[in-house]
Amino acid sequence: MPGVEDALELTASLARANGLELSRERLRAVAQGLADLLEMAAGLEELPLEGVEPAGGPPRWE
Amino acid sequence: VSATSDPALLTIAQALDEMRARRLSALELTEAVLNRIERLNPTLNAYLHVDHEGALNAARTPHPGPLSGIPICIKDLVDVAAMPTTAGGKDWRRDPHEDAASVAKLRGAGAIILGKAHTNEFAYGIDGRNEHWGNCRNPHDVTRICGGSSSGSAVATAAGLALAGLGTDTAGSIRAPASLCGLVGVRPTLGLVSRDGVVPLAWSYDAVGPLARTVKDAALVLDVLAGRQPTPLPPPPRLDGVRLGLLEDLIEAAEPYVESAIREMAASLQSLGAHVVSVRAGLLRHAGAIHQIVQHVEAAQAHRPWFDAQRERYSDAVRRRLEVGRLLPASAYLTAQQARTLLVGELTRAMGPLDALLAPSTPMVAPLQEVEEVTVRGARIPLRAALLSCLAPISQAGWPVVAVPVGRLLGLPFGVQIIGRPRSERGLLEIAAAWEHLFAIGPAAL
Repeated sequence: MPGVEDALELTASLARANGLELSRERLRAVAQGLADLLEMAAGLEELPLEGVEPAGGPPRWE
Repeated sequence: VSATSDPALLTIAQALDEMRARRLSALELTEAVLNRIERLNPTLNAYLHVDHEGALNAARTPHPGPLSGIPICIKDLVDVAAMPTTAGGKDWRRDPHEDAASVAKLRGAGAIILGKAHTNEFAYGIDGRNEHWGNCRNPHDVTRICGGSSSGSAVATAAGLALAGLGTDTAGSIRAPASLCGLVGVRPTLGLVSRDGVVPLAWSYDAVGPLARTVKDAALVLDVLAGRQPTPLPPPPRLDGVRLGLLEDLIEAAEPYVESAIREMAASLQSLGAHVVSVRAGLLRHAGAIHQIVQHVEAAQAHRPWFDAQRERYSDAVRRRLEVGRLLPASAYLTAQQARTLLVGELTRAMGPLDALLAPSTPMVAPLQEVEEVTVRGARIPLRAALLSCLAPISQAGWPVVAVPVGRLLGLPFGVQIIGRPRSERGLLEIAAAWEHLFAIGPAAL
């Protein structure tokens, strides 16, 4: 899982692709936030998610 | 100040009785509330916009209905015709020609719309602070936060600057200020109250609901918002056959005085005939992660139409969250939504045969305005995380919650969530009314 230093490059690339211009200082802050959320997502991937439909999926008619 | 000497401090039910008996007119009531706004709003900062003339004009010939002549404030995230919507943002403004669907329901029921109430910037906060518009202050102690983001609606209602308020709740924005200001707040079942005309924050969480001083008042406003014929709650207080679950994972995470108050409440409800058991949902430990990921992404998308042109106007904290949410991979969002399915399944099993779950609203009383970290159970926690810790987990399910006061510490109120199955608001309100019969929080200090 990327720490903030690893996330800097990823964040810069994603920001360019999304048309977000970020100063060096802001890039670092966003990279930290992104790293935190990716770490949380990695933690959730430890749960038994196989075959689980995401919340907000199709309506249940029964 | 007693309610008899200042009509602004009457409950809705009391004010309706006074008006029916012709001892009070809608104009007198509205003037009393406007006078109180003029006197106290400079201190409390509950209103961002007050429509003094519009309110007086409406009060001269109030529309008949279940809320006829009752002055109500609207969170400034919700459109009111001919009033600006700022969403608590800097230089962000729209000027709606139509009321939001929820406001139209209130106006159609005869409510007098007083103005637009303070909110955290775009409702993306839980503390009632706003660097663009100033902080909203707790009427029980103005040096303390009031909770948010429905900060102004809560403070106005608690301090007699409205008889009730309209709020929105994504991660807890009705329930947090209800807890810290000593009010009744209802987060309705997702979809029960229309969100048309409300600036969105996160689509899979956003709910619109009332803040009021009593359970009876909250029930009346909720009925109006839901488009139902208002039906009075039955007289409390027997709860024979009602089955309640103490949601231990959240109760044990709150400060000991909050835990004690909820256990005492449970014992009191048992004495009224309720059956109380302890329940656990271990996946609640993942609720914070699920919520953070889902809300970041949904908020970034909700703001996308104007974000690129206006991003320099946001506070650093909110802008950073929106930028992070925009860049987060879809796989992370879907992982969180899958985990949310598991969590809701576990909560559903915990609810089992029960009628309601009990959990703290906030893990502590209102902290001081300048605080960024608080101590809960001996651990230092960021203020935002602490305030969300018992609320955001419950938002995952889209279930209804009635938040009511459960105790006081050093004069500061704190609340409990009564959580039920979809569309069980009525039963939750009856439980809340039984509790309110035993425990009255009393008025704010101002």
